[in-house]
Amino acid sequence: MVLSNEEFEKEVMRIASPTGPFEPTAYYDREGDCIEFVAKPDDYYAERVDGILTVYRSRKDNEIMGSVIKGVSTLCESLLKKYPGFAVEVQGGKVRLAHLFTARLWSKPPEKILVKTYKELAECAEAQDIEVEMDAACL
Amino acid sequence: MDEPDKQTDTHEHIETRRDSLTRLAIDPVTGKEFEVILSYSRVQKLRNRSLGQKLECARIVPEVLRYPKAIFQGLKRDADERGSKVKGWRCYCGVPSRAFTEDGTEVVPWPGQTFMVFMNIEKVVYLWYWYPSDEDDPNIPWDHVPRFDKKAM
Repeated sequence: MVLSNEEFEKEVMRIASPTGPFEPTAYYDREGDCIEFVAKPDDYYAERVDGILTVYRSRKDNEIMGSVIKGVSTLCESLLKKYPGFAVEVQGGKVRLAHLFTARLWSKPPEKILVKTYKELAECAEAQDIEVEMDAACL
Repeated sequence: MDEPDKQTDTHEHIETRRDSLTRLAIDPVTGKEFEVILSYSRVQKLRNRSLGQKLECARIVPEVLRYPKAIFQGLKRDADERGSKVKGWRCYCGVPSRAFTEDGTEVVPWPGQTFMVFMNIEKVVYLWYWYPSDEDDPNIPWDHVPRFDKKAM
């Protein structure tokens, strides 16, 4: 049954009702096989960087404040094949997001803009101590 | 993962939860409406974000799904990036009737940007955002040619 617009909005607001102050987080979305990382509560617009990475830029200052990595299952599979040592970064199904950004950077030919962006994201994720709980199918 | 309800996740509870996030979208092939579901986890993650972002989810996502100006299908990826689990997906695009600021104030759509809504083959909407638009067509992303396999509508 499709709710009316008003009922749907009420439901969205109910599901998304605040539980506390904003905290930087990253999560794996199984429906999109993607990891979304949000470091600030600012409103943003997206900017695609490469085939799997899109960054979020704050509307306040255009600085990078988050990202989406798509094709996570394929990325992890590829990283584990190329760099078996990457497996040690997975602890109890969780991965430090900074290490994922860095490992991805290693797997690509160095291009200045990519290096700068991935490093910026890795540093941001490291500073916030961000871990992502991964779906078992990805690892 | 945190849940707002303390109920056990029975199949019935999950189905009820998913039904509440059902919206209508346009099928680019038939031109008819069909039901899609917004990702519950995605909506849940808006909890401690701005009112503007919640209103985007509640009002703008449904608008672009139902009245898209363009629908793209298939994602072009480099050889080592293919094989994602998310197959046969679509991207609904368009400049909606409004935008929202952080505090929920309704404003005119952001200039030079279009709103994009991503859906997987199971008709689950899992991502949406504003994106810089094409100079010649404000309703489509500027990089639609290298980015998508085809324009379905």
